[in-house]
Amino acid sequence: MGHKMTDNSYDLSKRDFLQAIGMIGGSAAMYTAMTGLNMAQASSLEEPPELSSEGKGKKLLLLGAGLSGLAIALEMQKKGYKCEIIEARDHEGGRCQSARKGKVIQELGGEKQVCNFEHGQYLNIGPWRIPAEHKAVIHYCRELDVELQPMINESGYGIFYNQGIEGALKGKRLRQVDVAIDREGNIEELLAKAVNDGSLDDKLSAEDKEGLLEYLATTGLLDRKELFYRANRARTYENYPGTGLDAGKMSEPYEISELLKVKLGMRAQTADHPAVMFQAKGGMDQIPFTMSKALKRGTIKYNREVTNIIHSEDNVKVTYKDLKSGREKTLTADYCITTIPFSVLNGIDNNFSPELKDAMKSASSSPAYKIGLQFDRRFWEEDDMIYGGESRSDIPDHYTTSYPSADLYGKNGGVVLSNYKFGGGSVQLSNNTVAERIEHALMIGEKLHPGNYRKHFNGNAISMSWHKDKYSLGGASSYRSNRLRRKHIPTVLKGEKRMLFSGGGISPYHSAWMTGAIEGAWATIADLDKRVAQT
Amino acid sequence: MTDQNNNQISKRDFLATLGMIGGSAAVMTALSGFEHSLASDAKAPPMLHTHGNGKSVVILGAGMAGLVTALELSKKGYNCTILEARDYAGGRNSCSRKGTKVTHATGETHTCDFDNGQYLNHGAWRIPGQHHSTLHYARSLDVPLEVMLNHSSQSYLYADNIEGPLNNQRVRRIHVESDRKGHVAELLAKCAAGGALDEMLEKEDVEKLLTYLKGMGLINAETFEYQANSIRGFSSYKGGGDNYGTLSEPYALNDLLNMNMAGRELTSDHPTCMFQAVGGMDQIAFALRDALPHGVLNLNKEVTRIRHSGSGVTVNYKDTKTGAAAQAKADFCVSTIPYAVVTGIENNFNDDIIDAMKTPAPSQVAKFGLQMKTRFWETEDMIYGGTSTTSMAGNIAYPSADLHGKDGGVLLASYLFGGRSNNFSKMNINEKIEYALATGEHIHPGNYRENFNGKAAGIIWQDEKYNKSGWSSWQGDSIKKLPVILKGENRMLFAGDCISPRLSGWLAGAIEGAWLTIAELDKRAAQI
Repeated sequence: MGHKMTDNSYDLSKRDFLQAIGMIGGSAAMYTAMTGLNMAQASSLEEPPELSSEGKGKKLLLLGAGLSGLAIALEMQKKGYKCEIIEARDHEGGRCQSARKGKVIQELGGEKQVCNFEHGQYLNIGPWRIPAEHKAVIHYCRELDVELQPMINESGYGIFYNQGIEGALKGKRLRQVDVAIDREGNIEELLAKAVNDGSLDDKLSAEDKEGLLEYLATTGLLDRKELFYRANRARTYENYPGTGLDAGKMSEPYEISELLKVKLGMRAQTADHPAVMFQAKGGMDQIPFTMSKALKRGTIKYNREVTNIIHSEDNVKVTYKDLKSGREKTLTADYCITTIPFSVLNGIDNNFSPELKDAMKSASSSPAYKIGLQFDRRFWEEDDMIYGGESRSDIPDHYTTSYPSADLYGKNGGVVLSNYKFGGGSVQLSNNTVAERIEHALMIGEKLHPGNYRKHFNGNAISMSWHKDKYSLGGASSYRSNRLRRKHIPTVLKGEKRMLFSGGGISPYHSAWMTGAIEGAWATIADLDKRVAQT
Repeated sequence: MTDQNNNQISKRDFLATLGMIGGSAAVMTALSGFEHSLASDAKAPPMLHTHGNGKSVVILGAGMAGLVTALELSKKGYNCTILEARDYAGGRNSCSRKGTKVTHATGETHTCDFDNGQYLNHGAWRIPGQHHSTLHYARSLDVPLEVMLNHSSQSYLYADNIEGPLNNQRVRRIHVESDRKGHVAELLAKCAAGGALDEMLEKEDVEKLLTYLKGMGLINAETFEYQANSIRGFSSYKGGGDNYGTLSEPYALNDLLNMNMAGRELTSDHPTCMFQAVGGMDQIAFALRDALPHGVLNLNKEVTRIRHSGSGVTVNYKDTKTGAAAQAKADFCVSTIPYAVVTGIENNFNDDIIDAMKTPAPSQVAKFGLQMKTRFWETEDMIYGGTSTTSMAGNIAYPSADLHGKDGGVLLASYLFGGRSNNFSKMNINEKIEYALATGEHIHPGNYRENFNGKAAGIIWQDEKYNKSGWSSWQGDSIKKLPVILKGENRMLFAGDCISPRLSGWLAGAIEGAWLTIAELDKRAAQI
């Protein structure tokens, strides 16, 4: 398959990436203008759609055993469809993978990595967190008894490290809570002063001014009488209070002009990135594994790489190569739903309409990189009181370092997601050798946890570049602009004849989320149901 | 202290006790000249220099402080005896679960009938990451901990005493939090852009401030108006296909300002994620108990008299099962009995000690749980752990264990302080249940009563014969009297969270208090 990615697919703008992960909000007007489009799913779906048709043995061929393929098969089997899933990998789950002992990762043009984490240790190299509002994911976890546990997405004790600023805070490990509280405290103090000196008289009634000052006096950050910001109990302590007469010592806020130089963590967490999220106990891949077990035996055919898709008014013919035997075989089905990422599908021979081909090619595939290192001691907990959450820095090609939420206080160390980077820098990182990748992660970690990071690294690491994964060719698929979204999504949603398109790629507003794959699957089966009813 | 006074501990005092209001450090640091204190942030028990060599210590009370004292001194060869009036170890670190009996002030003895596996931490219920001393025992005794979710942004605030349209409405915490930040950002951005901050800040800093205010993602970058945003979240969620959903509309500033609750909830020792022992907080006490040498712990022994002298201590006690009186003699005595109780026991403590013990205010605290058939707060309201707060009837805290469980769960349905808890105390069990249900029905209309399975249990700490309060609140300058207690007298020493004013009511207060006391006992033992 000659699907070498063009450079275009790498250069998604920062704004698109932020949007893809839900970090930019607010322009509701722009979006509501789009509501004229049909085929929208009801929001915050909690359950799969009610299907009116009966499969009666109709043959449904599914391409890809990722979350959307699995969800479609689960629901359609219930309705009497004869489902078969063709999967190129030797496991189900698609991008929903966890690396644990024995896991082999072979990136295109890369070294073969074999994960050597100790037993019980793992890294979610794909999806890693579920917000409570993603009810579609929680639906399957509840229905199939996948145990969820809190994923601590934010820890006040996590670190901000700024090497690219000038001044007193350059190169210092700042606690996230201290930065956040100082920002709040200074803002409150300045606003209180502005209220008191009459600067807001034209904007606020006397009553609102009074109400505002009352509120500012109750946040605990300002001196209650004079309303100036000062050391407080929301910040970390220099010395924590103890017993007897030990009152502890509160820490001193940062100077405002120094604080304002810090650019990390400006934006508050979005509603779908709250402080506490969920993860599947033992690894996120437990979700697809459990879904797969709920399917009829033999539904998934592994190690079969699709090479050709021909659809007509009456049926769909899919040719695949058996990766074990090397033999090619063609299957015929009444309907076919492909969940193969557009970036990969573009490289498979097909007879889709030019409009569809164009729609799929117009989607951008985002590069994404994760590297996890195993440590023999949980120094981030024992020495730094960081329990879950993340640290961030402005070190080039570093986005976030996330600490494990499972096995807190464990005595067997743990795996830290040492760098998760998407967009531009992730491509450079993925061009490094495995040894260079580890060294880069250690370099970052040593700045966040000097003296501990290298010392406690036990030599076991795993990294994944999704844009170099043959069957993904990207971390997520999305449209770069609303114009492209408006133009192409309806085409993809419509599919053609007996051929439908599903997967996370058809949920641009949940791009890279598991709920995007599942809600996409639900949208597709609702549509299939309609088509079957009409035949 | 008269009942009248007990009822009138101000809201501010309670908030201060709970760590909800910051800033009283000045008072404390003024006292730092005193000698008795351990290094802050203690991570392990103190090194003891003496060896007990069979010296005897009688410890009064098998709460956390008594258990820790006995465990550490036993390791050093002291011959320890704990006298505990109750029939279990743990003191206030206890749970309501099937079979737990609590005698209420109304005279009713209520036996908890929660389903198997369900429980309520009706005493200690959360451990912040900074309490290393508590974590020390959980780790060293292999007590599994799990995340205790102390804050849920989706939980509700409910006020029935404010002006405007938010009165008698349940409002999501995240909406109030985002809107406060958003309106503040808008107003300050307008001030910054209009030059109103030019006298307060350098020009360059005003620009950076403006950049930050815009970067928060709450205000429009051109007009600075606070607007609907993805931090506040959606009123109709986005979905598959081309469904973007609808962002929720912020509350107007003047309506929002009427909502005078929850100005600050997260403090350094009350972060979003805390910890709890798997299966109930009392597992920590039980692990300490089980680590003690055989015979150290003596349950059902109510202390009736304490006499100490320069050479030893004699403690009289009554066996509450048989009624038989007995006496224990020891080289040292450590009392961990709450002040309100120990001052009612015949003793020969000097007047300064008695006076000091009567100084801190005993707090009134009630915790009452209801078992629910389903976890509707999770499935319907997306509340996972955290607390909903009312202006009229305290807090409802949602369980952090068994999230997504199919067997329902126990809500801490009424967590009440002060006069409110005293009123609650006067109700019979059915009235207590009704009070809790009425509160919850405001927060979860249509679900709360509907899902209640009839099983309830809880405790009112000021009504407990062996506690008489939730904890001791050392307010303002009262702490100046603490050194008298820390010093003890002759062979008599005092421990418990009541000697840890800054950790009062915390497990860490009991444990670190015990550590301080054994360090002191070590010194005295070295002199004999």
